[in-house]
Amino acid sequence: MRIIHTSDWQIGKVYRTFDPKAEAVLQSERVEVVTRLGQAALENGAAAVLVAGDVWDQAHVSDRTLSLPLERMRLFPTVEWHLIPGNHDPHAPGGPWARLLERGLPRNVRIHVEPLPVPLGDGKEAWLLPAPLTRRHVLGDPTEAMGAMETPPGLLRIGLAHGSIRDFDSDGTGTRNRIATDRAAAARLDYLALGDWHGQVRIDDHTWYSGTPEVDRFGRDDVGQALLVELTRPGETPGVRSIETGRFRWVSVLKTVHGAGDLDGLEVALRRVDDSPQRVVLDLHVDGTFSLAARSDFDQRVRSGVAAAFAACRIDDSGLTVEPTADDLDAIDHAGFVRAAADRLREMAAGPAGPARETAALALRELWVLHAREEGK
Amino acid sequence: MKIRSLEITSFRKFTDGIRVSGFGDGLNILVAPNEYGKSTIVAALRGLVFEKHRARTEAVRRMQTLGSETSPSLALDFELAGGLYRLEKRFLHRQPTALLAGPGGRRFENDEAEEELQRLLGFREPGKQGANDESRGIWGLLWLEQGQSFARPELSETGRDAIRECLENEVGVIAGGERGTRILAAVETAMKSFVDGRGKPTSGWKGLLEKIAELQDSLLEARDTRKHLTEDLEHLEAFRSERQLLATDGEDRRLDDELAQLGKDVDESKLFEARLGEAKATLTLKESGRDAAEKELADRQRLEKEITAADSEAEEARLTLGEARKKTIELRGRKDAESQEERRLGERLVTVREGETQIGQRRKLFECRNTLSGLQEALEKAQAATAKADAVEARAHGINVTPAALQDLKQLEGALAKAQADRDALATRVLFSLETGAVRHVKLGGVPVTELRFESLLTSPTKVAIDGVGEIEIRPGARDIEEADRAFQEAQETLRGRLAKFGAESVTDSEGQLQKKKDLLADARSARAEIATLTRERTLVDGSRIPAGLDALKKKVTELSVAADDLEARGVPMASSRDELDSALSAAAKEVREIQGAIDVTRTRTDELASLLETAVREETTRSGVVGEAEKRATLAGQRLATRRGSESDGDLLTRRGTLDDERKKAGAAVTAMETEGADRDPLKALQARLARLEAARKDRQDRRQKINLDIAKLETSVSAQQGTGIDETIARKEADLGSLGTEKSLGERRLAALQLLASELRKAEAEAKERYLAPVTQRIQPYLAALLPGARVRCTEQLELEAVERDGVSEDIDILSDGTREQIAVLTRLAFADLLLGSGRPAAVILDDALAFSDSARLERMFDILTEASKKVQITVFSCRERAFERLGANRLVVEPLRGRD
Repeated sequence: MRIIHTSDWQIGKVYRTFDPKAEAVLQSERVEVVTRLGQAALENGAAAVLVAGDVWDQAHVSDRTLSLPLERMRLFPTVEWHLIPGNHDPHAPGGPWARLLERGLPRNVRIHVEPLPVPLGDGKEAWLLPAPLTRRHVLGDPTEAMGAMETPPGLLRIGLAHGSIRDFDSDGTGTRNRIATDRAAAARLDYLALGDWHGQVRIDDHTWYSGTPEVDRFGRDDVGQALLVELTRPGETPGVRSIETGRFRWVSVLKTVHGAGDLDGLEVALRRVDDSPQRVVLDLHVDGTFSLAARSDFDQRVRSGVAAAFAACRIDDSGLTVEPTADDLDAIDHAGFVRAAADRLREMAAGPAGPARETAALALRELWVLHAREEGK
Repeated sequence: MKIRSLEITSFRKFTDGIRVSGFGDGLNILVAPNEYGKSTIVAALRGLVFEKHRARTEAVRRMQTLGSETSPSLALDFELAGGLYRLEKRFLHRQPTALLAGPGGRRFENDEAEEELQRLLGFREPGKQGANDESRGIWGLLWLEQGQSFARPELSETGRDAIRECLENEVGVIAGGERGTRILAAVETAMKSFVDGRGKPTSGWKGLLEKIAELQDSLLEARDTRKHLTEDLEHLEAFRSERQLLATDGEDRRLDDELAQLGKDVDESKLFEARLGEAKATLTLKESGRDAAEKELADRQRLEKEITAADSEAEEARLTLGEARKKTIELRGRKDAESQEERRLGERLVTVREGETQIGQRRKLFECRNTLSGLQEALEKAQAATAKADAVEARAHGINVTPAALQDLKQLEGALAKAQADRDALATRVLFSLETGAVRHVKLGGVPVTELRFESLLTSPTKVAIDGVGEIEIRPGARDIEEADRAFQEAQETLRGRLAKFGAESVTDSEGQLQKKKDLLADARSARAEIATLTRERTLVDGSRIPAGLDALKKKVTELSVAADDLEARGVPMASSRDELDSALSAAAKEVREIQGAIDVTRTRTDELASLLETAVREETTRSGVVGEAEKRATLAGQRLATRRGSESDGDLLTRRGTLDDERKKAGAAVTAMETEGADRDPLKALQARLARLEAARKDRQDRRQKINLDIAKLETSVSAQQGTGIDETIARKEADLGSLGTEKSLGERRLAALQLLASELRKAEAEAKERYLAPVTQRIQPYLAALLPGARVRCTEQLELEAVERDGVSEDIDILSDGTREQIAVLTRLAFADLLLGSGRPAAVILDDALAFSDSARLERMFDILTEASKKVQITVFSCRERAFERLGANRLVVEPLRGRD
């Protein structure tokens, strides 16, 4: 049998560093990916989609956010969707799962809020062993009970859980929601579908993290993915294939530029990031030294220019130092009090690092802009 | 430029024409009194140079002498760049003219002359309204009219351009000035999108800050809501668990069973209690029946005793009643005897009192007559004395000389003596010494003389006739003799008339009359004193009083006479003596007292008997009542007893009492038996209390269930309402918004700091540039200022206007300086401008009309020094009316002389 393994949809996620329009696009795409998963299931003949937790980004979401993925799943009535709560949306009183139980679900959607084995499909081929989270952080292994779960003999046992199999937490305390590395073997699982890790990871032949279907942070260049799992008989290694589901690529670019000449190179490099820049979310870090004129050009060509080519763009130019040149200052004025002020600001901007230097540099940029505006009159 | 001479004809007060000359290269002065025309000279110079010859403006029309139509004609000789020029203008003429003659025979006429002059001196063509500060340019500042010198020197645009040209010659163009100003304005505009002039946030920036604050508040609120939602959910879970527990713990069933059993027990207990009650009621009934029979028996015995007692009491009372009646009769007899004796004594007392009255009347008659004899004698004497006194007083009042009148008469007598003496002194004294026998032959004034030797005083012509000889008329020679004689006659007549008024013959006679009057009045007074003694107030023997006075005495005498006569008429005999009357009266009184005593004794005894009689009668009545009462009681008791025995005989009553007592004993035994049985049972009250407690417990569980259901319903409603809003999403949204607004704020703050720094640096640089630019002006003022106010510095605005003076590090605005200092600095500034112009090869000359009026002598000295120093470079002309103050200026004096026809 074939199944689609996915996780970490995190519907309703808020993006803090983008403007509202870009954020709306990113949020919308996290919902649209459900449709693409359903299509992938149909296209690949998968009877079921297993969602390994974190369907929603928060425990208390609005009615609309709660409904958004369900309405997408409803569009694929022949596909059986199995969902379990994760650490972002644990099954707790008043949580999304409790609300769904009260409201009712589409016929093709099953949610599992108790660690009880259930038949997958008609139950003739496989049984599902879910390990739902009832709290954000569970001390101990949420899959512990899988070993003791009885399923009809001769049928496939498929585990569905959310947690860390390795210590992914940077603070090293990661004993929470921790899943035993050998859980698949210990619990006689033919496949253990895991969620929580946003990248796609193979733990062993029977244990995989699907990764998020739509990338939501910088740090990896791939688009979002899911897994197509093919299971034949109990005890046999399943066939696992990655399928691309994401729309956006989250790309980080770090560039050091010095002077107007490098600006051309930067622009070219940015345009080469992707053939479809509209599918790229860009994180640009620029450092180096610019003249006032070049700095102004940077704002013009990059901030207001090439950045518009991307779906969303975040620019950090705090490492960009402005060093006014003699030409810059001559352009402002050859003499006169404005020039005198510019000279003094340049001295300050060349002083020891600190807020005063930054303010002076910014003041020079302001002067440059105002001067340019005057020139334009 | 150096002025050499000025000619003025038909200009205001100078009708005949004058010529002002004697201008030296340096410092010049014209000192002349007020009204001399100094200001007219300055006005003429300004009009000649700056007004157009063809103009008919108000200013030009004012050039004409008042009431004259003559055309004003002006001429100026001046030196410029080493060349001599002459400027002539005729105003308000049919053919107004202008002529400018320059070195090398150059001549310009009319409009050309005006244009050339403007070019040479650097001022503008005046407009239709005539010359003004704008057209005069820098000259408006240098050629001062009266009263302008202490005003802050304000440059017109033309004047400012001239100075700027000079400055730019010296320090070059102020680079980027206008553009820099625009940039600075743009920076300030950009800053205004953050803060206003006072540093308060403005619209957009303020909006951002407010939005952040609002967002922070609403985030806190959302987190609070989230907290409440969590709490609500926890409570909901807890309530649901409790409801589950209430539904499954089996306590309801246990309570129901226990309550059912308790209900039965209570009913049984109630039935037993009812039966016991009934038994007790029977016992009570039997006890009360027996008690009633006992009481009836006792009542009958009491009634029998009552009858016996009442009978014996009546018998005893009847005995004492007889004794009381006997005593009453005896006392009544004794009382009647005493009353009879009292009546007899009363009749005797009346007889004795009548005798006593008769003696009293005799005594009264006796006293009347006695008193009357004394009073009648006094009355007669008093009446005689009164008649005498009246007569004497009448005589005295007949004499009307008074002491004052006498004094008057004596004065008249003195006046007569004086008048006589005056007359006699003027009279002619004729001494007669006749021989014996000649007497009968001599007549004086027709009257024969009688004496041989005598002296005659003649006051009027008087003839002395001598028989046989003839008559000799003697005429007194004194001039006033007639007047003196008349005065004497008048005095004599006055005295005589006055004496006649008093009936006196002479003054001495009057004096005697006055004495007589005094004597008579003394007699009258002694008579009146005697009357007073005789009619004094008296108290008679009977105590009655006669007031003082003759009338009262007379009245009393009459009364007494009438009373005595009346008694005698009634036959009252006159007693022989008072003693006889007294002894008779005393005897009668004694008898009265004795009878009175006897009456009193009798009356006391009667009263005692009456009192005893009253007591005896009362005793009799009481006894009689006691008898009646006892008889009545015995009758009543007898009737009651008979009634009771009628309804039930004593034998039947005794039988009934025995039966009832037996029944009572039986009922008592039944009650005791039931109480013994009840001791083993739970008391009804305890059962009822337990029942109530368990019912309350069951109700409490029901209430709790109901309340929990209600709470759950409420919480479910609340939670469901909150869940729909997606509070976690809201919080994440707000946190994100707050993060991006925070970034925006941080960027804004950095930009604002940069703009502020930029503005500050631009202003600083601009100030420094201005300072450099204005340096030539301040540098030229500075040496003069140092001489005037050591250590002071002057500051100019960019508009080349004096702004402030800095002394000892303190900046003082020009406007707050004293009038004197302000004027002095204003003059210095003008000198500095002139200096600057000359330094740039431009013409300049300074005219000060009536300047330095507010300067004290020390400052004036310093200003003189400054003017002297300045005049080394520029021609300075001073007009003043203060000869003494300005004599120390040491300037070249101008000459003003009548103009003789040049033409």
